[in-house]
Amino acid sequence: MSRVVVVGDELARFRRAARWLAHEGLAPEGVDLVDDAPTGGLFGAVMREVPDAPATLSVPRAHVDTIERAACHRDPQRWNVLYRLLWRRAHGEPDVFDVPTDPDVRALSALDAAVRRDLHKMKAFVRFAPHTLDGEETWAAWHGSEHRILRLATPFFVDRFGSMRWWLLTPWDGAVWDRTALTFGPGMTRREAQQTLTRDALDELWKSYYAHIFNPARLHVRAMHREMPRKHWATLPEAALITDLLLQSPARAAAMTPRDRSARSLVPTDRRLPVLRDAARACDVCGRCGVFAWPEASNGEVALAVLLERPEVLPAFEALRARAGLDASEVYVTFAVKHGGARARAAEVAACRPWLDAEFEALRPRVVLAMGVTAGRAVLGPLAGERAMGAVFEQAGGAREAVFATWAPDAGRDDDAVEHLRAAWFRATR
Amino acid sequence: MGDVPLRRRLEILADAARYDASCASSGAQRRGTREGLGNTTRIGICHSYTPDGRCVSLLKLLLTNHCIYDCQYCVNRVTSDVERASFTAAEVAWLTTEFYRRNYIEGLFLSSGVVRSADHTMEQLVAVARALRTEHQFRGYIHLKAVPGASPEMLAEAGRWADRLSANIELPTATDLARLAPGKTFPVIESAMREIATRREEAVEAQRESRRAPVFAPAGQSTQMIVGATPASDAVILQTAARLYTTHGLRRVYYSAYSPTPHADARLPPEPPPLVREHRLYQGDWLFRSYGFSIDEIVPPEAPQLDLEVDPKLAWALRNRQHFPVDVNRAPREMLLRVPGLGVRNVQRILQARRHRAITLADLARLRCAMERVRPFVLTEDHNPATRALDRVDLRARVTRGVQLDLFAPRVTAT
Repeated sequence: MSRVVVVGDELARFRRAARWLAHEGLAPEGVDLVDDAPTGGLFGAVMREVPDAPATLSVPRAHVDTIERAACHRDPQRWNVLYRLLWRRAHGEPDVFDVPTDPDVRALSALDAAVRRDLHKMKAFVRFAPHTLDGEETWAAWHGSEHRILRLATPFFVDRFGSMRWWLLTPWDGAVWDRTALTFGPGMTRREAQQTLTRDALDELWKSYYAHIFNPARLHVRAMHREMPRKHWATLPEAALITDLLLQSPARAAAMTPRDRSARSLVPTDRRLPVLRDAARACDVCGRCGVFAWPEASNGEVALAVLLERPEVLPAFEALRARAGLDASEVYVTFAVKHGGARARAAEVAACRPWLDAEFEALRPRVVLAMGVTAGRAVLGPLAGERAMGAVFEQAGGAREAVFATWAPDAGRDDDAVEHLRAAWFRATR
Repeated sequence: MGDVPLRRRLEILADAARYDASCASSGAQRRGTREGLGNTTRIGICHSYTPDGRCVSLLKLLLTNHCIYDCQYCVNRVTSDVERASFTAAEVAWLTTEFYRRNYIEGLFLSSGVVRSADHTMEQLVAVARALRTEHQFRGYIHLKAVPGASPEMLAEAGRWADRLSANIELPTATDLARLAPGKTFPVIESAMREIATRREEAVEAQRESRRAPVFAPAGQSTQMIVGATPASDAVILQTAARLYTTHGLRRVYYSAYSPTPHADARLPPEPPPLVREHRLYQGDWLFRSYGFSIDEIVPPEAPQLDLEVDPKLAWALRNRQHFPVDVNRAPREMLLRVPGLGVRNVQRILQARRHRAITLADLARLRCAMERVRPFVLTEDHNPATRALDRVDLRARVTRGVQLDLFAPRVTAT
């Protein structure tokens, strides 16, 4: 019959018990170290207190932390595992702790791993909310940890939230941090916590974020459950959404992908200009409802194509062309957006771009002069910008030899624009 | 901007941000202070998990989803009709600190559509990080997107405030990029990476001389590649990843399965790639970084696509049976790492244990090794009849028996 020793749940009491047992030469096979005194039944001698004894067992330095964590585990067998290992280390197996495949060492590391996981989940799943404690604003949270880990966890919260006054509760104990010192006190049951603590309004913003940061098109519920076990859901405000989110996912996934506002799929494979022009007339992907404008002139290759933002800029350009001494037949003028109206937005230019690409493919201009940032974006993309004005981009896409960028005809930079127009024309006809 | 309520904009800009797979908050360390808010721990923390199995570690947002680019694979491209929204720097800083106080998050991952110019956009991102660090004394984790084309000065300031920077490579080859992302090029993206790598080296050097020297993006840089939008093989993808790891010292390459959009043009495939492909790429990536495999061994010329049914290490072992069985009591670490079913941690345990005791099959089982896969490939102290299967043609079927094809979402977690 084995001797039962009541240890309780503190590592210090275990140390005292183990010291005495080892001193008395009592092997682990003959003792049972327990948290609470057994009730009823036939037991051997039950000891609630053990006498003082000199230290004969020693704990390897490298494993002190492991043992400290394992001691926080709720498994009633943890004291027996620990005593067995310490006993074996003192009796002919000095290296036992260094053998990870040993069954007792495995049991110890399993206890340690479970406590470490519990600690990690506590750091992750505590959710503070404003609360008034002793008349002071305090950030309060109750966390249903599986093991008695509050004391192991507090250094983390002190370091991270040192500038806040907080109150952290578990089923066993609680801790208050007043920005200078920690005070440990009693814990709370889940029910008590629900009655004492309240959530705050910011949870709603957090829930909105949670509902939108995940991808409803690729569910993996098992992975979610594995990493965020249901037992923690009650204290996670976002977990209240999960059922609804799962139900809505198929519909949301279907609606998730936006419509493409681009003429890409409307451009006919026949790239002759009249065909393109007719097809473009009916295009309304960008929703601009203005006058359709696509120059009638030319159906062969052109030397110089001038790209304006929209049809409304044409008169201003005509004035500049006259000043540059060029004839209307010497330049082909076209627009970044084929329908006139208000200033073209980036999205409209991008939507219309397949028409422009097809047009240039048919005309194969040697040189393109893009007038203004908006027109520039249509051929140069992000390269265009105020800083690009006056620059020449060699072989910038397509079959064209060069793209000149200059100011828009209505930008009030007439002298520069005329000069660039002339330069582009010389380059195109040289 | 003003009339759309903050909550709605939070929804729009979270929707827009979810395609960036990274949510890591690890790799940097910053102690808390009594005046400031927060700290940064070496091991990241996942504060929540969403129904797609991914972790929520950082507040992941776009500053704006307006964008001048027309990248075909991206929902925020200029030609997409998604609802657009923007935050101010102050709003993002407020959300970050209020969320952090409640322990919802580890920090902020801020990206943005490109508005006006790369430099202008980068400046907006930097302004948020600067405000968090200086005005709010925020000491949590910050990950900023490095906008390719931003000036070296802007990137330098970004790295001063951020723990991590990432410039996305987007697609596996330069031709893919030219086809689907007009306006973006490898040289521009990689020069941002080079800039970050150089600054980091300088900062590490300076730290060695004086611990007071300013840090630069202490958690390093990462990137993301979209998989399955182009026909590029796994071999090409992993070769690009390996090149980026070695030339720019990246911490991580993230792989993100392309999701098709309706009305997309003919250049894009109509079907998304199987999610398990993403998972296998991550496994191949690990083999390269932590297991001593070369890319040619993971995806040799005769098998440029990763096997979707078995993990890449097992696939390699099945192709190279001449190296097996491996004696777990004698083989060097490098060889143990090549045994299917043995991970880095268990290899470490085996090396430690065998200094004291001879390893048996039961020992391996106690270490919770994946025995189904391990058994045919190892010699142990006791007799292991399973090695006889090494010469059998049905070895593959035997080792995969009972192993369900796990359609895993990749475990992209904070750690």
